[in-house]
Amino acid sequence: MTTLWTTPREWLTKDAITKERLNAISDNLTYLHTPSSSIKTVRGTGADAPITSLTPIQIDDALFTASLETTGRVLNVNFLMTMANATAGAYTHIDVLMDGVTYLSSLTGTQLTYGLLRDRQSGAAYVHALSFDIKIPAGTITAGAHVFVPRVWVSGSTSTFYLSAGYFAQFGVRE
Amino acid sequence: MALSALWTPPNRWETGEPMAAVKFNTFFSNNLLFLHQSPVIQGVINRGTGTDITVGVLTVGAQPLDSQQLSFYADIEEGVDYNLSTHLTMASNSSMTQLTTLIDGTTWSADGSNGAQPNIYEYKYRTSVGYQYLASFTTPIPSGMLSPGRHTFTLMHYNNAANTWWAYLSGHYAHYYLTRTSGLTKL
Repeated sequence: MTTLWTTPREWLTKDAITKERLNAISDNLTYLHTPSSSIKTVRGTGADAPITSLTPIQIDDALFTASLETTGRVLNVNFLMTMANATAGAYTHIDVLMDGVTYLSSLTGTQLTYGLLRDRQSGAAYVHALSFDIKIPAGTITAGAHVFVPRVWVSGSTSTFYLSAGYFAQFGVRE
Repeated sequence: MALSALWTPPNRWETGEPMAAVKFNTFFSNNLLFLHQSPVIQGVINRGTGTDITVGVLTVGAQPLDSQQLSFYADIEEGVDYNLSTHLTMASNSSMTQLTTLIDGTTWSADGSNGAQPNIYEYKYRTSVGYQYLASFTTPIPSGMLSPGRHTFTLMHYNNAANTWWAYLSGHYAHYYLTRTSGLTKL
């Protein structure tokens, strides 16, 4: 298990230098070197996910649920998947839902109209990659255990996210 | 002494040196706090509240996309590497979108050059007329490229003909910011 961060001690004159206090410094250094993260990667072993929902819905929560203990640092969220919509001109939107209640686009319970990413299909069924890498500023997310899942919706037709043989997909959250 | 997230180069301890509380706070606690709170984000994060941008351009050359909404200043520290990150939904009526950043009105982000036009664009994209796409890319700003102190960053796009571009902020997430690479993998 990852060593968690604790608020550094404010040292006072004549404080005893105990092994516990020195180890607390060591533990924090360890945390900074290897902070909390949850990276979900699928290397061609999933099932393609057809999305027709006009409101936010999972791609595959069994594969892309990122759970981690945060400590109030900057949070990095990355997403990379290959997809295509069957109809030229259709839009696909992606957002990230935290703890089932907060969308990272708006930091509220309602996603921004166009989410974190809006993509318009240039040609019917043209396969292309969608990716983003965003940071949530330090102090925005309360320290503690959190669960993150990608959410997608379309303007119409079907957007297929390719997770089967030959496709790489990744969703990750890290401090 | 109250703690603060302030970096001080770690002490080189000498034999017999007193371990004063102020040194532990400065070299351990404050430095740990600084690293934990890094990278500080300097710049713009738009959560749907900005105004959409339309740029109808008749002039060939690099021009600001929006000198108010997509420009910011940041304080540069000596000896520190930075990443400049852009995430913006765009569209154009023709041709290719080419984006880069102009720093202080004089320095191009891609290579630190100071010419009237950039040599390199960090982002290029061509698609069908009016089709929205995400411009998402990160540019390294290595230490030494900019002098320590405050600098202004402005997102620029290049027009090769009389075209129109759109950048979407209303109802869209977008960001344009600078972060230290401390604690992160350098590009």
